[in-house]
Amino acid sequence: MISFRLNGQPQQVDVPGDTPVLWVLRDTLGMTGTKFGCGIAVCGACTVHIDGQQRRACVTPIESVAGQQITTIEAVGGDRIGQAVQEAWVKHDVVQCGYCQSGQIMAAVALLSANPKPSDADIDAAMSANLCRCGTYVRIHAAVKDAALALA
Amino acid sequence: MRPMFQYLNGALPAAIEESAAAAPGGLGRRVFLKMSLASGFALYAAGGSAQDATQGGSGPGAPEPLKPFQQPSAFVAIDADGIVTVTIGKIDFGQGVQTALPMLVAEEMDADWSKVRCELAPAGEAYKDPFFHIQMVGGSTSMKGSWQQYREIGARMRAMLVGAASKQLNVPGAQLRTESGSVIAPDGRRLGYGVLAQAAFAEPVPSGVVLKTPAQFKLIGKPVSRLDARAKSSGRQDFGIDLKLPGLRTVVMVHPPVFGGRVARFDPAPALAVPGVEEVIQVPLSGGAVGLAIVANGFWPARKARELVKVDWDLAGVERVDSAAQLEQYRALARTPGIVVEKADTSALDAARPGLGRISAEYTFPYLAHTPMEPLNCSIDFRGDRCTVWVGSQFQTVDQAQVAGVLGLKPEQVTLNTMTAGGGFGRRATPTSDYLVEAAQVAKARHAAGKSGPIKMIWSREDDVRGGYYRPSHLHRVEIAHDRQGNVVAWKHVIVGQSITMGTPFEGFTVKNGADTTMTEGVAESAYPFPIALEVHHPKVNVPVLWWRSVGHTHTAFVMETLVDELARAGRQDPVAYRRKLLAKHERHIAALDLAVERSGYGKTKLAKGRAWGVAVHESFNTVVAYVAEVSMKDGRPVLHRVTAGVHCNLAINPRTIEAQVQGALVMGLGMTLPGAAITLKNGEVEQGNWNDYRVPIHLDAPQVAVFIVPSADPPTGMGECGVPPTAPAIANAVAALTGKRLRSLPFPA
Amino acid sequence: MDVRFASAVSWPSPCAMACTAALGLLAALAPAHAAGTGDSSNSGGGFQPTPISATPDRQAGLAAFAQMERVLLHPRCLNCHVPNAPLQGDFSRVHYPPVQRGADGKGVAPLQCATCHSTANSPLPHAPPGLDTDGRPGWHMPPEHMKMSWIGLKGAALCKVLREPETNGKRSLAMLEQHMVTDHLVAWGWQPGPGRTLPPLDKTAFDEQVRAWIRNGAPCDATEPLRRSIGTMKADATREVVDHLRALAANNDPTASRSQP
Repeated sequence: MISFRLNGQPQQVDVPGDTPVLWVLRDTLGMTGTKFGCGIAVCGACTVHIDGQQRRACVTPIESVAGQQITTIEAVGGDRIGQAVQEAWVKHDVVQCGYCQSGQIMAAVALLSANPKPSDADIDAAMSANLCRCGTYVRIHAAVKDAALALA
Repeated sequence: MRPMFQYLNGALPAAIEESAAAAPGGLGRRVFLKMSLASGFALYAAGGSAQDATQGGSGPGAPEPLKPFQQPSAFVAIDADGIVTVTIGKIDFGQGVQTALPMLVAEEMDADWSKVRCELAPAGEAYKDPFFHIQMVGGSTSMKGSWQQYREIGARMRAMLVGAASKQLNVPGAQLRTESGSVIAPDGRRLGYGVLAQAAFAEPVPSGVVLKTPAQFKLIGKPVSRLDARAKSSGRQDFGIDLKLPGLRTVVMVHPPVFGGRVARFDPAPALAVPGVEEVIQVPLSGGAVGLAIVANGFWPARKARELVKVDWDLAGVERVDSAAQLEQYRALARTPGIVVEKADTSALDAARPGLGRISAEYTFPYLAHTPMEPLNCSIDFRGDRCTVWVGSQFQTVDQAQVAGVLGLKPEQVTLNTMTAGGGFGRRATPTSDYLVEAAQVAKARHAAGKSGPIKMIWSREDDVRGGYYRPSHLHRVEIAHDRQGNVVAWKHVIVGQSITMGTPFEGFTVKNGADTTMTEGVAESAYPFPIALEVHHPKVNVPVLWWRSVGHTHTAFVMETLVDELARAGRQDPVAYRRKLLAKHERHIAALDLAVERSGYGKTKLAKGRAWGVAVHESFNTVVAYVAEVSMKDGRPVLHRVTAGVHCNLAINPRTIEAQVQGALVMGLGMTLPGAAITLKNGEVEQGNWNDYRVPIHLDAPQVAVFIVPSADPPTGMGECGVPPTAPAIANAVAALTGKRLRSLPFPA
Repeated sequence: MDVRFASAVSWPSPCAMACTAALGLLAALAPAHAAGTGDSSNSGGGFQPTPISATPDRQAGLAAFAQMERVLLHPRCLNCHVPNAPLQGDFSRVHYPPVQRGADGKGVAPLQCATCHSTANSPLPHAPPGLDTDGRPGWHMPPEHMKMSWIGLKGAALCKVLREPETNGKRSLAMLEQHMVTDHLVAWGWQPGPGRTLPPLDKTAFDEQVRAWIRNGAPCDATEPLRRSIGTMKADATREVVDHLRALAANNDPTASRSQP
């Protein structure tokens, strides 16, 4: 049994320890907001926060997060930064197909948590590890800037 | 060597033939599907207006009964609280039809937009596109084709609501008005749509309806936010891959390393040792290949097991394509006579003429993979005499028929649920229904073995990058003779590339005398009045090919717009002025170009040192897009700073969606230029496997983008693809201005 | 949007600056690797450094280094012993996604190494390598102030960068041997996960060559004096200071990775 905290609640799963957090979330717990895009941590669709740090769930073994706190897209709106980011996302109509956006939002929240006043270059650098095939980057950029302003 | 994919031979995919054999009157079904598609396309191509398609539509006193696609009950539901749910026959994989199509209905219905929701329709008769006679999304046709249809639905619904209200209020219908979800009487009494709904649907459905004029639009033309924005921004939007069902098994496939390969021997033991893996079975794949399916209680055990399963492949008789060798073959082919598409006088090229300049150019383009963000997946619950499918399909009718064929069912025994999909770009509109056929084969095998329960087949990203159905590779050979002013005197053009539609139900419309228009579009009917002599070659290659967003225009626009730029410079003319002269008869081209030029500051603003303008204008799928790009060079590679876009799509239904589509398509067009944006094969095996080695654009690649739309009230044209083609040539033209170097291939050199 | 990543990207965060200061202090006093990367030998694993032979053989030493060099220049080592951002893969390409070293070598928030590099290699080819350091993601580069970069160097130049405390993280020969022979991040090079080539010597052979080089006076060229002493293992003395500074750093920067410095 592996115990951890998920979105503020205690959680326990009985799966092989090498199962990535992504598949524990999606298949074991039925929480499909965190997405599978590539399986090798190059696309960012699987981004979650673990003990406050942005992590790629597709390569994180569940046994390595025993006792730690996982936050997923389903709960990221529960804090000030997450809420500002989500509101900016809606205001700017960022999404198109939407499949990458859970990861984009988790990455944006991680950015604004580390750097409340990111420059354009900072946003480029921080967000360039999250792929979007629909090409919503222009609006993602605007939304991150807007969220930063709203939080200031 | 005979390619294993039968469609390349002109035969229909194996699954449709199976269906033909299984169903009574076998051949009839296949022929019917092919014929109805052909007639649908022919009607569409003839510029048949929606009036033709509605047949029983809007003329006064039209006595014919309404067709299923005209019935409001198939498209609109209203609950007691007045929530209006519009069911649309088109899949939304990001284009925004789940907002724009309900806007059409809501406009004519005078619905309260805040109470409008959208659902995606399953495969069904009513949802077949009135032009194509199949349920599909492609060719940027959703809004264009639905413009009349969905507004009429809304208008009929309004009439029925008014009819019901008239009875309840005891006021003649003509005196009632509708506004924001209510019917209102002259004395101010009002009845909400929720209250009226049940009675409204009992009203007779009028055939003839009067639609609003653009001046009356309250919703259409406004920048309306997406209905699904919040759900998709909080992880609450379900995609096909997210499906949860009791007893669901996950299936991961093992595909041959070369297209058409077959399993010779396999050892499942190491895979079966992974906890959670239930079985490993051999299954036929699309096009004669044979692979394995690993069935497990979740994705991870199956995916892990795939690295452990041992397979020997039989590759006898399978063509092993090599990209380097293919390029040489294409070069050689281009020097031989091809299929003549357009004739023109090329005598000025026969020998050097005094006063005439010459451009000789070879352009090359690699295979491109679509790689939509959501990995391809298909869920099937097969019960022997019926079956339910959940899939993000752009081709519901085709997919339904092919799945039915594999399972020995009639299409109407297959319920195909359309799931919201994470991107498509054409990959989910596959004439062979390739990945669905795989899933159906797995379901069939399990059912035959007495195993029940639904399965969800998920392709890994490696399956996707290596799984074929690429935009074909191409070679263009162009010889141009021009005078000192840059006027074209002769133009000889050869294009080499696989045919996408030969051997598919689309062939009847798109292939003429052996030449595939999906390859020549953008050259063959170019707006420029150039005397182009065009020949093509369609080699048969063992690599399955498919559309990719903007299809033929992905390569033809690059060739045309860079050559036009080169001609302008040869004639010492400004590239914009040169185009304006040649396109003088094409109002929409001029309007789009002028708008982009004016808003960009081209010719007026002095650019920062080291920057240059690059211009391109191109029409695809009936919409004209002009880009004025600002580019600089860094470490020998172009950097795209800013793009100003001028768009002529006739009437703009939702400027927000249009802007989003241009921004996104522009980025995808930029993606074609990035080193590593190529699928290459060596000894039959695809060399790339995931986004670590198949390059797609990232956030920092994106420029600043400003989109401007030419105002128009003409029936709308599509926005799905037209923003892709002009990006690469606009960048290349700026590079030429900065360095004097002409880029002749995509992607650009590293 | 148009600024290429390769040019300087500033990351003005008060937390990062405090962290840098603390860790700079830490690094000045205690070689980062020797003290903190979870060298199993530090906790009493019984590592015994190889003493210099009474009759060192320069040629044997140079030959041993030539063998070591084949490993040091292999992508498994070279990709992180670079002056700027890490390289990636068997062809030592620019790391994708674009990332920075960061002051402590663990990346710059929000894209630290631990974002993608977890506690274990994945069974899937081309997934990012992973490494467990006391239960946390342990992947990192040398820190900014002690880059231990040797790309582009070979022979005597490479040897000296490796050997001299000014460039090798203030390591004596004893500590250098301990690092190369027992450090688990070094050892990762021989268990890199699917899709990556192995160094040209196996680990046992590499370790042998390291000992042979040291035993023979750790020569780098044909004329310089041979080393006479392997120096001390200072690990225990500095451990308390290191722990104290690490705690300081963690308190200052709540988003700092809790993996080892």
